[in-house]
Amino acid sequence: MLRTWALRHNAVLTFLITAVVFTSVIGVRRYSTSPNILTIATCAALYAALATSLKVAPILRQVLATLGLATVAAGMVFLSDGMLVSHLAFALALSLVTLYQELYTYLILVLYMLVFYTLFAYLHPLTIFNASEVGNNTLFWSIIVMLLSIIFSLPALISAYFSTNSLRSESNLQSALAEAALRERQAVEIHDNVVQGLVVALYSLEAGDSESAKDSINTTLSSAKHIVDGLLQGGAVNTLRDTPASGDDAKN
Amino acid sequence: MVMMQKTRIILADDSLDLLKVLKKIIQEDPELEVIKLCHNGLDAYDSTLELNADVLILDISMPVIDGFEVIKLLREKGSLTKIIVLSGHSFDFYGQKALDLGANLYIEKGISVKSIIKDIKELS
Repeated sequence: MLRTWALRHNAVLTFLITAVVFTSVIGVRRYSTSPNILTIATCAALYAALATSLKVAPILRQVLATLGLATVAAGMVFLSDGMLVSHLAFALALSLVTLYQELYTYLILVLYMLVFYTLFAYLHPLTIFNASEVGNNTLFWSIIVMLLSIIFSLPALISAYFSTNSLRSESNLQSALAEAALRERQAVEIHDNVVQGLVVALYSLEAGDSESAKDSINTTLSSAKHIVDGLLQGGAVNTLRDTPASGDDAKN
Repeated sequence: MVMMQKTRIILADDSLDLLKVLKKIIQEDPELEVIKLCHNGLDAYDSTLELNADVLILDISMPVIDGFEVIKLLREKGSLTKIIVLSGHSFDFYGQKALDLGANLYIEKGISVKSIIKDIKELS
């Protein structure tokens, strides 16, 4: 399970680090016209570095990588001077975080988008939208790009949902099989103990040692009761038998 | 006077009580000698090779390595020791597998020791 998570996290990190390098290079070259890019690239690099650190708990590394992806997506928007198509970087980020198969990482990114677009649509709309494309309708376009990002990432989200369900079913099946194997082993052990005890009693009688035979039967009886009581502890037991005990059965 | 060669037997079972009572009955026969009692499969395997026993009476369900593994390893080593499996399970459960691996006889526990002694003598 952890191995699968590590593989998925590494895939997200690879994309994130590549995007950070790309954004940083462009940020340095275009610093004079768009200083926000370098700030964003630095933040994203910090997120990526922390998400890579093995000292950080996996759950936090996954959140940091998600924030890194969101920051890089915002960087792409600034990098393109707010071209509409660049806003779909958020759709790509949303699709990528579904690799974690956790709804909260997806929701963190949606929340990030909400804050990002709400803030910039009111405060500095023309830093995230190209005036020639959207005119004054920045709020409208903010809603549109958010909706489109979510819609485009839906297939990945649905696929992650079914994949998680399938993994859970497989895990449940494996647990059930392990439990069945354990029950079978316990049944064989109980059978062995009872048979051993009775055989010792039988052979003791054959050796003329009736005291040992009696001891063996008593020990076996008490041991079997102890084991079965332990196995049934806490569980509701059906006390209705399908067939009578063998002694009664033999009489019929 | 000619000394009669006794059949040297190793008994392997995880039940100490069973080993003791089996040894007691088998030792009463002047032609048989129990040379070792083993509580686990590995001990049974090592002792059979080391002491070159004539007969190994072996349980299947045992700690460390089970009876099947003991039979397999002994036959792979070329051991000629006769192996009698004495199991708490019916022949249908383990019998054929034990014989396929190289056991000479499969006996269900509960059969009289006199009958087991007869089988040992026929085999050895």
